[in-house]
Amino acid sequence: MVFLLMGAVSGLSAQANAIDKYFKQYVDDENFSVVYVGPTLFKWMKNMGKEDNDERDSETDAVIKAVEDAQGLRILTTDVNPRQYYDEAKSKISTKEYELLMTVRSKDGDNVEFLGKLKGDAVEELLLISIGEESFVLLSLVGLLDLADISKIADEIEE
Amino acid sequence: MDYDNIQTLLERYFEGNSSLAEEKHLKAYFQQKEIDPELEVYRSLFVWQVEEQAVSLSRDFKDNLLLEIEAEQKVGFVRRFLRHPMSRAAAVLVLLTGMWWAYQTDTAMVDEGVTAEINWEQYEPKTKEEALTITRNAMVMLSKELNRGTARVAKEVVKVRQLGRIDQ
Repeated sequence: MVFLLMGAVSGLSAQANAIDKYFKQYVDDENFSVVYVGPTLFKWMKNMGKEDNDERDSETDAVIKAVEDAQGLRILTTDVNPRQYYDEAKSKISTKEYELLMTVRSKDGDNVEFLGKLKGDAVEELLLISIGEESFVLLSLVGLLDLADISKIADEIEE
Repeated sequence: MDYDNIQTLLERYFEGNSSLAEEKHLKAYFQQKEIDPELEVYRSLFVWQVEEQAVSLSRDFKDNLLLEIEAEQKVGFVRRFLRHPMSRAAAVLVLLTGMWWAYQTDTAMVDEGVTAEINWEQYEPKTKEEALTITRNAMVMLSKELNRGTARVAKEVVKVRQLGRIDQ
């Protein structure tokens, strides 16, 4: 019984980000550019947000607020065969685990999909899959995220 | 051995006065195929005794018995242990500690093990400022796309409402 319970706990806690889970091979693929921002850098940004800094613009403040509880940002981009990678990516992601939050499709064929790993009302991981005329982008943001905070960043730019 | 002699031995047997030698005689008599019909009624008693004496324990009987006793003692210990409320509390504490340990171990595996497979650190920006710029650009892109989608949804909702009004 103890082992069963341990197994259950173990199963619940076993969570990885989508890129580790589905797109490991893209990271080693020479066609892709890879960027990672880890918890240490997010912690630094969070601390920066607490400091009184008059020179900082409102856009940066909004960004820092949105990533306050972020743990990892992973971005993979390629301009080689974007359509092929996009179709492949879409077929790999389990829709049971990642809920499709939004699809934005343009007339010129650009496509952006927002998927989320949800826990109640909170988003634990936001995954963006985007294809344009020239590039394919895969972005994973892990942490407790508030979509309203993310949305406000664009408002700050417009002001 | 004649009837009277056996009868005498039987009487002594039932009175509890027979010697071992006399009982041996009786057993030997009743082992015979043909005996006095009047004494047939006693045959089963003495034949049974002889048969039972022939029954012996298996060689591993002792070992099996000891194993069963040990197992019984172990179960008994657990039951005796759990009988006390403090012992039960201790058992729950051990269980919870075990679960916590399993959780910690697994979390560490996720944090270190999975990321260790892909060495993400090598893809980190070299400076904090660069990290902030990358994060800001990524978040701006996310925000714009999110708002673009939301605006489109809002537009569609307005259209649907207007259609609804026209239909009415």
